[in-house]
Amino acid sequence: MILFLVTKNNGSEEDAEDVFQDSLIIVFKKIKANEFDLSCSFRTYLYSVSRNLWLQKLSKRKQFSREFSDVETYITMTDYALSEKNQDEMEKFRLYQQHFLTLNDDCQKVLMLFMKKVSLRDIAIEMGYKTEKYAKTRKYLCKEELKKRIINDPKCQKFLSDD
Amino acid sequence: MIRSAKNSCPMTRKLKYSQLIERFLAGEMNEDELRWFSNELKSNAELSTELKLDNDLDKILLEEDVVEFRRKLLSIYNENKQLNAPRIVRLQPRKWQLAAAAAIAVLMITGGALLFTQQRSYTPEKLFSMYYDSDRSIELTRSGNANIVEAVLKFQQKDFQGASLLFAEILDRDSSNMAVWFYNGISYIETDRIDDAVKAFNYIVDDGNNLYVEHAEWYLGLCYLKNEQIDSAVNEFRNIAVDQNNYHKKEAAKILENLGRQ
Repeated sequence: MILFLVTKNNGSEEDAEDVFQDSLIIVFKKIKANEFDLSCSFRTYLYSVSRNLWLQKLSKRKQFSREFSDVETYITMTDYALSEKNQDEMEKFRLYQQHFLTLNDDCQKVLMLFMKKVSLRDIAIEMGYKTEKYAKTRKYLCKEELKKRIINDPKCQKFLSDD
Repeated sequence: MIRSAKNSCPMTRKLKYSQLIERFLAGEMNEDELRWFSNELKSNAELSTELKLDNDLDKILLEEDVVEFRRKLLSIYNENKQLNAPRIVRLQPRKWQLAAAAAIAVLMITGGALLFTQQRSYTPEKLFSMYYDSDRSIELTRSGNANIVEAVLKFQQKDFQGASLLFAEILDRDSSNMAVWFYNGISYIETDRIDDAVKAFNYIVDDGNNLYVEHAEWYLGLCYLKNEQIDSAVNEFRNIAVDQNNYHKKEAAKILENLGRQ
């Protein structure tokens, strides 16, 4: 359904994957924040979120055409989650999180533990490191690796040079 | 549904201020350093971009549930991809297929032999120049110490001899600054004073508790290569290669392979 919507309206399969993923994340966040108010079928809701995201993307790319083809019924949505500003942020976070998921398991775990404010001592114990200092070094090197992957991804450049 | 992030950029960009930012975020800077850092942020766009990236990464890592959700999406996507992959249909081989298989086998055998002889043709000097990265960006904190600022400038301008003299002066007064030991070691390599570089990197390794240990071990191995002390180099690279967490693990294994000393 979303693949059809995007590819029928100037998009590629890859665009459709991104829109679908971002839509699912929006729904996921709404459910978590108790803001998920379903007044239509879930299918229509998900389609409407994706439709909004894709329309904004097209307008940003200046590819919007008057002959936008819908493939499902949809509801009108106006909340912040679908705003242009939030969409940029979502795209950035999607790319950064995808890079995070390419790090080895050890690095992912260390960074997550550090962010949860687990003490260096406990991180060292959990990860089997000899010293707290080494836990700190690992965290630094893992973050460094993540940053390197991001700054060398052409898709991330606009987030690194803007603002 | 979801793809892993791929890197298709042919040129590798480098981070310049990671250690400074790390110290800033960890609240480890003294007043002078903080003042310098705040001023630098106003005029240094690269520093400001790197700091913003760091802050953004902290934000995305705080969204643990979203990251886990994406991980699940990725795993579902990969499972589906495997299910939809075309199946391999086995056919009885025809004569030409057997001939092709034989030709490939011959190519593999001769190719393997070639590879074997090529491995032997890696001289220590060649391996050193393959793996030594002379374009290291300096990450020392300019803590208001005039000598450090001057040394950093000389290092950046690739005046390694001048930088090395100043680094040595700084270390005479305070030998606990591992960053200075490290960049002094690099300056020694650049000026072909390999034995002095070995001493500098050994000092860092012996200290043990600092951010430079892994890099120092790596450069120590490279110095031994440069000095043609192959057994010492092999020992160093073996230690690095078996350390699951070592940053240079893969490169060390590759060097051992090239030396035929896995």
